[in-house]
Amino acid sequence: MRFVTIAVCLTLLAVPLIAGSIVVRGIQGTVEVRKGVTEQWMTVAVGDLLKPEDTIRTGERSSVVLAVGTNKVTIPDYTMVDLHDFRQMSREDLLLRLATQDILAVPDRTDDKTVIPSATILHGNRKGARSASQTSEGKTGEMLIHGARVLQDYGYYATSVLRIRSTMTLYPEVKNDLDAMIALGGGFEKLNLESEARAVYISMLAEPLPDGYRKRVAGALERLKDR
Amino acid sequence: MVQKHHPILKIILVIVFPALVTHCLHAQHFGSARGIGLSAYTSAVNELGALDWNPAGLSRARDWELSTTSAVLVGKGHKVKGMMFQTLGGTKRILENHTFGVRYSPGFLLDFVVPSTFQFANGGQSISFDKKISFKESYALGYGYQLSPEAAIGVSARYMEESLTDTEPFFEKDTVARIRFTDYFASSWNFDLGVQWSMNAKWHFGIVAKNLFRMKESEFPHETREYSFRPTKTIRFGATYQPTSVLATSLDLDSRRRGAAGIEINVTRSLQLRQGMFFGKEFAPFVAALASSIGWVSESVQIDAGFIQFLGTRRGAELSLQEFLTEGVRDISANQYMRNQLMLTVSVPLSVQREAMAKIEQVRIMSEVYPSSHHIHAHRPLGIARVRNISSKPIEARVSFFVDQYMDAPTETPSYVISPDATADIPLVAIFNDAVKLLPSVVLRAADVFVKASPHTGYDDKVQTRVVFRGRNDWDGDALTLRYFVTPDDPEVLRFSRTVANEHKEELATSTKELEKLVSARKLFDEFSSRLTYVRDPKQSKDRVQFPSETLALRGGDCDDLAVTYTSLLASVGISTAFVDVVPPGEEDEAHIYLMFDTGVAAASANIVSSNPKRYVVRRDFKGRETVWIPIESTMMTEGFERAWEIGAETYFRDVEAGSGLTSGWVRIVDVLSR
Repeated sequence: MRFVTIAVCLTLLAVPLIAGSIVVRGIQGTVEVRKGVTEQWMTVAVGDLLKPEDTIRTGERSSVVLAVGTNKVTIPDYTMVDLHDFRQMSREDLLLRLATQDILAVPDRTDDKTVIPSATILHGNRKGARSASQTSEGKTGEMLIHGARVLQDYGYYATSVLRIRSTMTLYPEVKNDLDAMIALGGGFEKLNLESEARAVYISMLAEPLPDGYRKRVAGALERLKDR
Repeated sequence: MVQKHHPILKIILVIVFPALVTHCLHAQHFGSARGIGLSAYTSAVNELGALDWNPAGLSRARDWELSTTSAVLVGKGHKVKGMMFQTLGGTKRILENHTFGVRYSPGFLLDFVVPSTFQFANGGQSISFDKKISFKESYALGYGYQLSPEAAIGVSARYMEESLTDTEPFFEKDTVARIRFTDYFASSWNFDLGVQWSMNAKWHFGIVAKNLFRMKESEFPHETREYSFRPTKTIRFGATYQPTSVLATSLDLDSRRRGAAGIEINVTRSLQLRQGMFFGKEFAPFVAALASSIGWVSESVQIDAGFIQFLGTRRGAELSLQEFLTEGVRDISANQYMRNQLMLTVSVPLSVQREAMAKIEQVRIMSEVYPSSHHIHAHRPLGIARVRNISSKPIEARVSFFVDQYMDAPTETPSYVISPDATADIPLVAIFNDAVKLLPSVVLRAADVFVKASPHTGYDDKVQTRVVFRGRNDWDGDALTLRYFVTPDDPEVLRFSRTVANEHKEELATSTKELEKLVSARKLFDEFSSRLTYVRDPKQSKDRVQFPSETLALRGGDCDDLAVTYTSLLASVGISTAFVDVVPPGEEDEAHIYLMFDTGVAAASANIVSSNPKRYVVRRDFKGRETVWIPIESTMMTEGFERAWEIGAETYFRDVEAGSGLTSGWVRIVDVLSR
């Protein structure tokens, strides 16, 4: 009886420890994880316990199955997901985060009457030459957009739209990615943020679009008109 | 006593008359036509009439004002014709709180004649042996002291002169009669003591003790003392309710169960109408008199005309000797011999100092002055002055603030328009000089607050308050003010950053232009941390921050000191910085500050800074440029740049990304500089 009691207690104690964790259930091909704020990628094995601050990515023809809470999430190949994105957000929190760019903005110092004058800048002599590392992660943006679609597939619309937006900011190669834009608009629609969705679609129509995309966007706008 | 002998007469006939007293002239205590109209004036008096009504009212009198009153008796039953000059006097304010009043009042006079009960008939002539009794209150002095903006106290002394002229016959050798005039004099000072108190703008109270003290200089001989003045000690209480600047109502009640009530209406800014009444149990009817007055006020003169109508039977010109001796004269300022009369008071201000139009009711200093951030008070109010318009027209009030030694000149606010009797809370700003930066520790200094409400020179009101100045290293714990410890122009800071730049010239030169700031920041960090000899407990001296020059000289400090110094070094080479202020909800003790700086790398090139977006923050400047900022945990100063960056990034992710601190408001980013 005592053994059962201790076992139950230990199990109960373990639940909160595991609650925020994500467990690797299955792996196919190359799957790597980046811990927290580190920059190194490490291979993942089945049964590994991952933390929300970690990031996971899959290589070509690879996939991974994760247990996220009670959900089982399959991440297809060539995808990168920030595990912290596997969470639901309140509408208020989402709207605030959409405005984070403004909250974070550096104010115009000319408006500040108490500005402290700063000193001279010291410059080095040699400037120019882009870093080689700049292009080494050229596919990251694309992988993150794939990851955002996975988030949408599993109902994490709020984090998906935030991820698509930040990815477009950080990775120029996906800034005008039409699929990413459609996914962003679709995410807003799912979140019932019609005006945001409409703004995305209208910005797409402002540029030349292939017929297929134009039809999809026009259809989406028609859909929004009825709402 | 003076005796005079007159020529010898022969007695022919003696005629006997009943004993009567005739009163000739009436003393008037209504030395103010405003007072007569309002009737209940104890709590409202604010001019020379305070000498009679309540000497505390002198303290509210206008500075240096001359006032005169005349009266005309109306109706029958008196022997005085034409206008009587009653009073001339003035008030003068000295040293802000002291007011003196002096009055000459020849009209405060009451004469009686007691005819002899017989006459000597001398041939065709008859000779009377009348007694003449006279009471005069020709002089009065008063003093009022303003105890506080709400309360005043005052004392007045009225000089009473009494004279009795007796005519007596006496016989020589039984058949020869002579007459002898005997004059008796008595004089005394009678003192009143009064208080006025304003509970608020609407309620005002006053209390006066009449004839509280009497100082006799001389008195009648014992056998004639029945004719003497018999003052009565009386306590009178008054209240005025002023719900608006247009209307005031007053009530007086005294210990002799007499009272008065009145109302004053400001029809326009210059025109006032008043109506009052006097009542009491000893009067018949209960309401003894009704009074009205009208006042006209301008900056150069105030004219009041008043009329009082007695409702009951007044003492006729004659009364029996027995009645006179029984009733006597107890109060020259209010007695049964008074008559219906019309009064005119003219007051002329002579002051070189204009009349105050605004009053400072309250000064509230809301914060202490921290030398490091003293200049914020040029824009952020240090306190508030509540100013009341005490004039009858709208004013434009400006408030000045000055602290001797720490300010070169007083600051002055813009004009605030205030309606009559309304108040305005006017924020006080201050421009301190560099002397405050030398304060080693906390000091208390007096500050003068002035209000000026007209284009004339001088001020309308002035109060003194106190300001706490903290020491030069004191900090109020707010990240917004921590930035004022950042001194990128300090010679020590510039010397350090330039030395580092020179020492690593080649290394810096080989870096790409995009990473130039990041490389500079790393070099400054490493050099700065390598020269530290000690780091205090980060929790220590939370409310004290070293200036960068001190930290560089001491080669150590706590986390705030190191954050401030590193921020200054970055700023000295043109790198924009910000403090990240974290106050976890419900865990205020865990509050901490770290910093972030702008690498200048465009967001689109962020991967050259790090492949992991969790290691940086993308911020947009006011021109729309998005650049990469790096969080640095200053408590990791001794563990190297990489570690400080890593911990800074982890903390930022935990607080802002996972914890939603920025959108929830418990994380603040306080920008220090940007170019």
